[in-house]
Amino acid sequence: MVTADEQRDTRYRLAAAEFGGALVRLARAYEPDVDRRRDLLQDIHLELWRSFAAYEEQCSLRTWVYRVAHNVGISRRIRKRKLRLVSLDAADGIHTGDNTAEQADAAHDVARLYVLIRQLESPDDQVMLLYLEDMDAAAIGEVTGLSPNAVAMRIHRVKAILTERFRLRSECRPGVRHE
Amino acid sequence: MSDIKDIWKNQPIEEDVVMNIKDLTEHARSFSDRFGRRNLLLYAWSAINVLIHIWALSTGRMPAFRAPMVLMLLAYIFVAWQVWLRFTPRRAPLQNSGQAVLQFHRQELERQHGAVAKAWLWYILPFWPPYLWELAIWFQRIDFARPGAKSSLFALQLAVIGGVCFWSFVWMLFSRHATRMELELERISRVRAE
Repeated sequence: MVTADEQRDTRYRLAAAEFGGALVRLARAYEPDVDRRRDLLQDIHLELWRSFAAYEEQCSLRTWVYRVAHNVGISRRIRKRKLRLVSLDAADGIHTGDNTAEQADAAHDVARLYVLIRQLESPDDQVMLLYLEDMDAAAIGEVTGLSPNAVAMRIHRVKAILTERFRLRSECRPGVRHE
Repeated sequence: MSDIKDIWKNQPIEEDVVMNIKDLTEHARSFSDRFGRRNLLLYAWSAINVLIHIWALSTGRMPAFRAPMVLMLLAYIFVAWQVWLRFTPRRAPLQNSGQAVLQFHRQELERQHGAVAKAWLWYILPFWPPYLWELAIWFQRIDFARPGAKSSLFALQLAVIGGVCFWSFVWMLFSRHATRMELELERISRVRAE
């Protein structure tokens, strides 16, 4: 007979094994400082482990994991009183550094993505993060609570921003040709 | 587009992806011990004032002000308790942690807004009865027949103006923060209605 505690521990281990990498990326997006990020990541894991006591498969495991993780990130952001952020529509004003051919490597792109995401307001930052994690519009709507229309509109904007800002990298990559 | 997604998903990860459950439970215990820097400043300010008042009361200085000083001491303790109660990071109830992000965000903002918007009640008001009482005793003790009365009255006026300015400034800080939260709440409502 499996006890509730054992079931919670098993669920946590399964979820962490499957989504651990995504949780690290999420923590990096919420917190630029290394020490605070470690702390945030621990908070996310702890909350995830605790939350499985209330998980009754009311949504998919993936949705649950992302909801819990983003909610921990949101709580921290409110505590830090970081409320002056911008929407996707105003993202043109966010300076993410130059994208010259010399700097067009993966690490530079990732760093620029983090700069961009950290300055976006909720739920635009979550939509971009979930989109980068390869989630579709329906799944993003389930995690964020946005309507399908609102998600579609944001994904369209996210794609435009990513194409515009990260085009140069693709152009510089050997073997990638643009018309 | 899959190019940038690939770069994103293939970034190097040095951190632990699965954590030890024993470590997590220890982390849970330490959670309530962590306070924000702003809260620590408020606690330090309260502690200094509590110590000053205890010292003044125990050494019998300014006996005429004894009763309002006791009240002021209680006000500092009450406010420190309220800061702990309202602003200490606490875990969300289990049933809330798996909510959709927008719903959770709104609830968290409402909770914090409630504390900030009512700051006049729990942060400012407790200090006013002992403060006014002290001013009244001060005024009563001015002997207008003596030549030094004018300067005493001037000092009293300065204390009144200083008190009003200080507490207006504190009220303004809380109000500004409450207004910013209200705007954020309105924005979240608009996004949810989209």
